[in-house]
Amino acid sequence: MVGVVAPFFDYEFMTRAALGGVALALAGAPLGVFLVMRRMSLVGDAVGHAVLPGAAAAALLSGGSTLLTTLGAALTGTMVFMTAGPASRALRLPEDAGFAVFYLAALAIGVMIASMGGGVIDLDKLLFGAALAIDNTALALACIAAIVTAIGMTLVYRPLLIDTLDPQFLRASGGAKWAGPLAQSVFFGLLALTTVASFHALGALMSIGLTILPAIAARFWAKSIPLMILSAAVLGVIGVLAGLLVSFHLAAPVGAAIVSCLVGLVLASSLVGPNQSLLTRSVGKASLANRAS
Amino acid sequence: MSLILNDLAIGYPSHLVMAGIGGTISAGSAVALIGQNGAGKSTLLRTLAGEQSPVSGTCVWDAPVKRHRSIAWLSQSPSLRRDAPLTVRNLAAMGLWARLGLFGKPCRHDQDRIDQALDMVGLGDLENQQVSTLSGGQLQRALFARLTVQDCGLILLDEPFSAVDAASQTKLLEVIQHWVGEGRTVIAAIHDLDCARHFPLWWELSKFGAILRRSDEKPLSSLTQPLRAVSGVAQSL
Repeated sequence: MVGVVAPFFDYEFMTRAALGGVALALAGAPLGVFLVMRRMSLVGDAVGHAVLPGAAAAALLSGGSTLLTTLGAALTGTMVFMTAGPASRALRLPEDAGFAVFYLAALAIGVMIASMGGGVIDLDKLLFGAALAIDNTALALACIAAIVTAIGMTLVYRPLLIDTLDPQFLRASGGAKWAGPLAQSVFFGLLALTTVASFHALGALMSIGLTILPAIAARFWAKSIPLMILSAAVLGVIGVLAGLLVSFHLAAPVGAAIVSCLVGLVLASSLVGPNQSLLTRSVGKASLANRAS
Repeated sequence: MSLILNDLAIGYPSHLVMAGIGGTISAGSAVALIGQNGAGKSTLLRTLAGEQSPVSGTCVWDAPVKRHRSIAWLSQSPSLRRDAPLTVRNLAAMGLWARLGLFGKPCRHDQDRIDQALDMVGLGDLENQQVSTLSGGQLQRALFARLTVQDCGLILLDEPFSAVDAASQTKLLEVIQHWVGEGRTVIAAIHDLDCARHFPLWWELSKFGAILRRSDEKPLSSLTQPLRAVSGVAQSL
């Protein structure tokens, strides 16, 4: 049994991947819980995809520098996030349709830019990540994302919670007028930071997975928001470590292995979790039926 | 010591809903805004709440005591998420936000106030129940508990009885009476005249951009339609 987890101690690249993954899971937990509650899971996904053209262009120009690739990713991700909403409204498109156009455009442009390098850029790495080859800069970025997210979310927790659950109340309750906009800016800023930090490990296609999937699973474990965040953090860490081990032992692509394990946790949670899972709902129905008869 | 409306025009730059609204509502009154759908009741409340800017004119809330300076507003369709992972007590505690801000901790007095507010609306026993499991009437009572905790001097209610049963309505009317007894001012948009009868004062709004008639019998200069009788509205709470 111990042998299964031994790679984390035997190989430096596994230790680094585990550290980076755990940091990203911790950063993603509170963000994911709020993103899911705000019904913005797919918007987060679209922004994750939108980092590709910036990352590809920066990688091409800088010869693959992690720092510059990160900055490029942040630039286009933020641009799409800031423009997709207003552009949809200006064109009178539903917001999700606007995001679909923008992120597909971003993906297509990104793939074309990457292919212009004539094989200099590893497109697979940009799309699917390389958690096992995470370098010092990417590891530091993951740790910074975790720390800054913890501080930022503690600062704006209260107004962000009210803005998420009852935005009208936050605006018209006589509280500070700046609280709502501040909470939203901090939240989306942290989301951009964590998405870009996750990009190196999981790639443009799956970077938001580490944020969203544990948060979805957490809904089946907890009723209150603080406990949901705690559950999401624990589930995220379990998913990352399990994914890395699956990848190591089965020689599977690491990003896909992590996301598959997280999806597995969502499925398992939805079946047997203590809150509103299929199991608890069927037990509840059965006991109601017993009482009725 | 009152709400002062001075030549207020409400609506949108491209669509004026009502103009020339003037008058004073003194602190500690309960006023029902009555009128057909589209008469501008909600627009007037939103403007008073500060959710919407007046097209012209001013409305000034001059609170009798400092802690009653704030204005509370409950819209016809509150934005509260029905699946919010909150207990009834958490929802009522949200009313402390304006006072506690980002980091303030609720004191013993705040906790007592939440207890009293929940007891007053008859939800003391359900304080640990999730908001998502409440009925429409219970949710409205929980929102009234939050309004109580907010401790505001001017409370604006948009169709507060539209989705509640008779028992909840009676409870909510008691709460309004309690607020008024504490010197707070309540203005409620109500389309059902039977409900409006419980308010001592009323303003009738017309679809034609004017206040048709008020319980103080002083028709406004912008009167465009003949007065319509609204008998028996002005019974006491």
